[in-house]
Amino acid sequence: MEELLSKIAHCVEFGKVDKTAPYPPDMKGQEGADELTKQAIEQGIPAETILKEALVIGMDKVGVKFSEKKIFIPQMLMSAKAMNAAIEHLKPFFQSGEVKRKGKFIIATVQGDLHDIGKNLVKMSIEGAGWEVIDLGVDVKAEKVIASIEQNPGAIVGLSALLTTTMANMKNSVADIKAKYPESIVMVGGAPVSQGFCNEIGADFYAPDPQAAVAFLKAK
Amino acid sequence: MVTGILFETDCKNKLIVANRENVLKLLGYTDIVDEHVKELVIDLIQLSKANINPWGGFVLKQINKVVVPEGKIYIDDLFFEVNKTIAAQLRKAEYLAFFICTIGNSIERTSKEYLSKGDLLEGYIFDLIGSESAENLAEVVHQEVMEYAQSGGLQISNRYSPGYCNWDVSEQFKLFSLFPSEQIKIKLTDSALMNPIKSVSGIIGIGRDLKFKPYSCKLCSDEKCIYRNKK
Ligand code: B1M
Repeated sequence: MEELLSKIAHCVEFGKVDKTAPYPPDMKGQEGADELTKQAIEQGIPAETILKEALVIGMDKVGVKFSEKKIFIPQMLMSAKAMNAAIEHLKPFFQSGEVKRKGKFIIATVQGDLHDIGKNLVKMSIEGAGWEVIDLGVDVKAEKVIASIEQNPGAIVGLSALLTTTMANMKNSVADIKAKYPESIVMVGGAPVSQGFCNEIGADFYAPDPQAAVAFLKAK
Repeated sequence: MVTGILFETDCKNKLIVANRENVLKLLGYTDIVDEHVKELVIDLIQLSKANINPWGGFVLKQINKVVVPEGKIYIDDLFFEVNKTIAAQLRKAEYLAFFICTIGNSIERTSKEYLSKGDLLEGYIFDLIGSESAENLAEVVHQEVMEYAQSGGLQISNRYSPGYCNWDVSEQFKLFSLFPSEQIKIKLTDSALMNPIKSVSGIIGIGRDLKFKPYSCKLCSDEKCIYRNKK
């Protein structure tokens, strides 16, 4: 069991998705996260064990290497793809409640803003850290976020904005969310957002990048 | 100089799609490049060519005055609060070329399709190709403004955009008010966002005694910009 788990972690760390994937070149033709996770389930390894002792461990290593600048965004994205391939096999266990994820995270690009790519990178990293992410998309009004908190009590909220004009909407959204759910935790991010702005609008955490977002959630 | 009318840029025949080295740099690579990624970038740039539908145009306006201490440029009955840094660069300008350009939304759609299929690296690379191509298109528009100015014996400045160098992005509303809305291929939303996303707007100074000064990251305070000191 241990060997299989460490093989899966290795595939996630190095971005080996499945047998047909050409990447990374030194693992060409070998089984990837997809096949190995399937085998692990067939062998009766609990899904929770696969998640915590293989996938999250693999992604943790990726996070460390990325922040030490030993790998670049492409490797990180390939790892996330491998992780997603494995997660597909675990989905039935999430749905049945057999496996509990670390928590729920609602993510949205604020009203008036259509930028997507930054939010998606954050989403992917948080999923990789073992959280369930509810992605509300772009141009999201505060009411929609509030409705999602209603459906997912205790979920942490993440808001993204890429223009100074839409940062004003971020401020309003945080105010509306906090008015309805004062105990809710709201994280903010995006190119023009800063720690100062986060303090000013009463958000709980400013994440300059996906790694900071994951580190914050880990500490929760 | 013919002022007040829209000059559409002839961008169809000029090189716009991103170049490989720039995309690799934006992915973080400086000297050692992952071969797999390099090949992927080459393939995706090739695929992107059909996905770029460039459109651009500019409108010339005579400047009434540039007041550097106020950071303002006066034109017709409008003034642009461009901030002192930009005003200083345009002190000697007699005209301003206001430009807007876009590569369309096809690349953005392709990027989203890849991301939603789970092909994260491909989706991200398409997005970078789109950003680089939009910048290249702005360069093409810049060249056309230069050719037009030089045909009248005038020089041009570098280009400056609302949202950069502390020029507030909400000034996009004033800039767009100078364009005939029915003839342009970009929509400005209520939050001053251009749609398609891969669009650029800005101004270029024109005048007899104007000098082109290269853009310097020192002018900008965005320490975490992915372009910082990369070019
Ligand atoms: C919930 O928790 C979290 C936590 C972390 C979170 C988070 C949420 N959300 C994001 N993060 C963080 O994690 C992500 C992954 O690392 C990151 O997400 P990002 O989305 O920031 O990162 C992307 C993955 C990669 N980054 C990007 O794609 C943006 C990079 C920069 C250089 C940039 C680019 C490439 C472009 N731009 Co321009 N552009 C800039 C950017 C400067 C920068 N800081 O890098 C920014 C965003 N642009 C700006 C501006 C002003 C503009 N741009 C414009 C145009 C363009 C291009 C077309 C040339 C191009 C593509 C734009 C696009 N968004 O697709 C114009 C607007 C376009 C529009 N549609 O309206 C224009 C208005 C300029 C003009 N007048 O033409 C500035 C916005 C700030 C402001 N003043 O409002 C800007 C910050 C640059 C600056 N230094 O001032 C983090 O921010």
